[in-house]
Amino acid sequence: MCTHTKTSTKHFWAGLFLGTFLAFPIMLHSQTASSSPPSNGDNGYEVNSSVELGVRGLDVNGDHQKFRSDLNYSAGFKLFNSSVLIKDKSERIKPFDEALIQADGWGSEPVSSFRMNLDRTGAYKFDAAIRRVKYFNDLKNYAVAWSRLIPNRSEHRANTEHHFGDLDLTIFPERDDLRLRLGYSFNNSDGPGAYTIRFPAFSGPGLSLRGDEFEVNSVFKLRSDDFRAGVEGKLFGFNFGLNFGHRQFRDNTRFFIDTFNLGNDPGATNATVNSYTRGYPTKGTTDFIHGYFQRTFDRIFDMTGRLIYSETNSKFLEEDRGVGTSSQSGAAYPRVLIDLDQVRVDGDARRPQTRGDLGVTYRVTDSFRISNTFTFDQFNVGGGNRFFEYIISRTTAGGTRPDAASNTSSWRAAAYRRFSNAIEADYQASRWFGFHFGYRITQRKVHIHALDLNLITGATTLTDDEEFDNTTNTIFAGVRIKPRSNWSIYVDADRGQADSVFTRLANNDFFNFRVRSIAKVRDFSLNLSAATRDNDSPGVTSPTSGAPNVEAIANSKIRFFSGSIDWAPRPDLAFSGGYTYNYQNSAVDIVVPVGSPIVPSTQFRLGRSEYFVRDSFFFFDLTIRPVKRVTFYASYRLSDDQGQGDRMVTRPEDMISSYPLRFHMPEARLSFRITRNVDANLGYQYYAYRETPLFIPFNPTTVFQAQNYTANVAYASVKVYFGRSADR
Amino acid sequence: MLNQHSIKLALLGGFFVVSAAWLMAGPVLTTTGNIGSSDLIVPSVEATPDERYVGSETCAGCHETQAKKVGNTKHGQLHTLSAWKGKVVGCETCHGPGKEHVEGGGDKSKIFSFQNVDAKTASETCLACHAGKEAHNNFRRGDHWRNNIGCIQCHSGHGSDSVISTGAKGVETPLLHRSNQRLRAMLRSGETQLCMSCHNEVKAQFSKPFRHKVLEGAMNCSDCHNPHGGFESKQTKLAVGTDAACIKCHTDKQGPFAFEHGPLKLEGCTSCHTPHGSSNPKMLKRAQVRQLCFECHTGITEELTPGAPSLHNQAQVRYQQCTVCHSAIHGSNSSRYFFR
Repeated sequence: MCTHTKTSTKHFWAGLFLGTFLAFPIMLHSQTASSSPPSNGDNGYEVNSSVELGVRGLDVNGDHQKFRSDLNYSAGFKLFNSSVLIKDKSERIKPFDEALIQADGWGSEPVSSFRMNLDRTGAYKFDAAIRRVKYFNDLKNYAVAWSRLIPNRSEHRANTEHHFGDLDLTIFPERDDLRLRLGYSFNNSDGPGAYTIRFPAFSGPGLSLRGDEFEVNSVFKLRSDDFRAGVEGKLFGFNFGLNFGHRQFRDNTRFFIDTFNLGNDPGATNATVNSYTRGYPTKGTTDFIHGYFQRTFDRIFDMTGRLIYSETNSKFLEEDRGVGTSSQSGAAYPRVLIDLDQVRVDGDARRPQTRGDLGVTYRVTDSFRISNTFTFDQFNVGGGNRFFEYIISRTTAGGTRPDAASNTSSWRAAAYRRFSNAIEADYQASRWFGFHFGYRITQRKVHIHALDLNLITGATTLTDDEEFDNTTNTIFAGVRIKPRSNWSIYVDADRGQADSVFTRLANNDFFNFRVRSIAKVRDFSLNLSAATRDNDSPGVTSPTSGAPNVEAIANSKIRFFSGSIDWAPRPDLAFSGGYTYNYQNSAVDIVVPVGSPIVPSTQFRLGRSEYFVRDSFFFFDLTIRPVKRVTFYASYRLSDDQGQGDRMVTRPEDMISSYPLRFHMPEARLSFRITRNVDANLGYQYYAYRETPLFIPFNPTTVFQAQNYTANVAYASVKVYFGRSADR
Repeated sequence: MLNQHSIKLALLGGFFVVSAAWLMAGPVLTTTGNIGSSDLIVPSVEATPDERYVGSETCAGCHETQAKKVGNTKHGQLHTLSAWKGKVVGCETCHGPGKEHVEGGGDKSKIFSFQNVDAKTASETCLACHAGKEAHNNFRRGDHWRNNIGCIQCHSGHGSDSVISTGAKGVETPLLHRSNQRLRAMLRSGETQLCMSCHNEVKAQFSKPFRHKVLEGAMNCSDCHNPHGGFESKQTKLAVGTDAACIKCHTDKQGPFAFEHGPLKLEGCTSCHTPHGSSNPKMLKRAQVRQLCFECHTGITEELTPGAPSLHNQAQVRYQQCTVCHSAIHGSNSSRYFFR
């Protein structure tokens, strides 16, 4: 945690430096431009800018961990936002026509960004976006130590910083015949956290398979760098592009336990750990070639195609070292002292993938078009490892035990190929009415292969070779009606099957329907929408599962209703507000193993998994300027999910869940215009989060706490405007 | 399959082949001509504009506001580009020849107006120049096109006002997209507000406790979606090469792993996660992780569907949090059960 504090401090000062850096040239400029406002100096530059610096105070009551997991604000100075827009209107040779530099949220803010856009017409365009996210996650109802009566933290925690950057340069951006593109992106995250591991690793001969789970400290360290280069232009009448890319990525996350740890199951006969380390360096590359073309023939026939080939490789080496005791499982597996459990796993994996797509549109008449879109996707995932474990152990009395070793090797391969073709027509009968309809067919083939070997005995311990292919058909249609020039109604629907072989959560037989109405009358607009999504995935229980052989269902119903208004009658008054209701019902038959303490030995039962959402979301934003120098802003948001209501589980094989909560988020802000260039702002935000604690019947040992909190957030800032932006 | 060395050779070879082809192709072919439709106007790139054109200065005489705005945009800078030298530039590039309109005393029926045609017809005019860029190539087959949402619903051809935060509109709040971002790509308003002005239901999703930070300004809709259409479902973008958009930031999930969790690549992240926002931890589709697992890993007959985990007695609390043991659930290089 200390590392993170240092990092935060470092970035805080970096943010402050950045703000100063941005403010300094602006102030210099304002001096030169002050004689001729707005700042359009004799040198041809026009500069508009603003800087808002301030401080935030924070008072959190209740569950700080949940507050940080949701919002992660902190108290302190911050650069609220700043922007500099420079336009060079001179005719001379110049580095740019327009430069825009923006920085937001540096300092005590969980989300920060720095953006730069430079361009010179006919020469280049440069865009840079660098973002930082302070990520925190520690929940009392997710991955908790199951043996604790009242879990007080998650065993999967993170307190990390993520940095993302994208830099793109286009040379000759306006040219049709040739454009060059260069790009670089980086993405890294690091910081402390926690994770769970199972110890002993794979349990050697004479050791209980049961093991135990332990919370381990982790230091996340991930990095990837992307390099892109490409050429775009026109060749033989075709627009084309050919882009190459290379990504390299590295995961140097490590895990460790440096004090005696009882694990999640602290019983006297269960495993313990004295020390544990795991290094798991993984690195890899992705190379890709991406080409496309497009041409419109006589404005009648439009075609575009794309071909991408990529290949991703990764190599890994895991090394574990642990010292502790194993768990006891009956007389056959007595508890032993493990002086060293050493694991070494190395191997690699590879994924070549090819995507090909072709889209054509034929304009039969000015108002009637027929389109066809074909896509092809194929990839293979193949990987293998060599696993070696060596255990040196003693009996609990200190007697010798033979060393144990295991040496295995595994291979996995998955081949995937998918074709999809959609043909559709759209007809625009008039400016007031248009419709479209289409048909999509998809064919998919999946082949899975697995092989495990025991390298000591030479025995094959697992083979699997499965192949599956499916074909789906979908029809879709929609209309757009404009009863008046300022009112549009959109309706669309699709019905059919979606390929879904692995998961019953995705669509299978589905029907989606959506309607939306948008009307605008002068300064008032009204948006109403509703959507329904019904999915059904029928099946039968497998006779081998031990559950009764019956037809099983998996269906979900999702309903949305949303309405919002915007009203801005005058420059000094704006209001928007809305309401969204989200209804979800999901019911899935499941086969569940149920054993002790409900029944003496584990048996399979047919149960039901149900999930509910009954969420109402309401919001409004109001901006008003009652007097010339004062602006008042108020907003309110409420998310209220009633979840499953009073539905309760009565059988151990059933699971019913939802996440009932109420989240209030009001805010008010006063802006005082002190001078032409300076505003002072005072603001207050309040967060009130209340949830119904997770309750799992037939779980007598764990009581989940509600993670409620309230937070008072006050802030004050000064915003300084320069150049024309001062004439606000 | 190609190895890395072959790919590098192909990358280099491809570059030289295309460069050579481009050099040999000579001058770029231009497309000109009328299409015989009174509605459809295509930007005129004629080398010798005829007497039907009056020039932008004439237009500015009446349409002063628009002329001033467009002058600050790329559309207003076409005359500085060598590729447009000698061609019609200015208002008549998009609105067509204006002589009749002027001589008619501003007769609106004598000039192409984007307001008086349907969205597709208006968009065809824009696409005549903008279709060649990859991001726009599928607009004619995208969801917005299907629903008759054209270019000018989101973009202003005359240019948008540059937005440097102004008074109350510059209010910073975690749940209000910062309005001081300059409007990119001649958008009519900030990108997030623009998308949500129609897709108003997603605002509720982005206000959930666990969410992607779109309303806070850390992300834009276009970080994941291409509003102009595309070959991918939901008009999502690809990240690196052929990877899903999520992998752009969540690089540790990209694999490939020696043991991949089936849905990771075959079904995609949305099998288990709700990408916009959720009340559930980790933006999962279910409040309890085990529900998510059991809804697939159960004894319901579907080909390739894994069976119920036989030893996981759900009457014991220990087995009710699957990912505590199966912690490497996205994929593992060392454990086929995703233990590490």
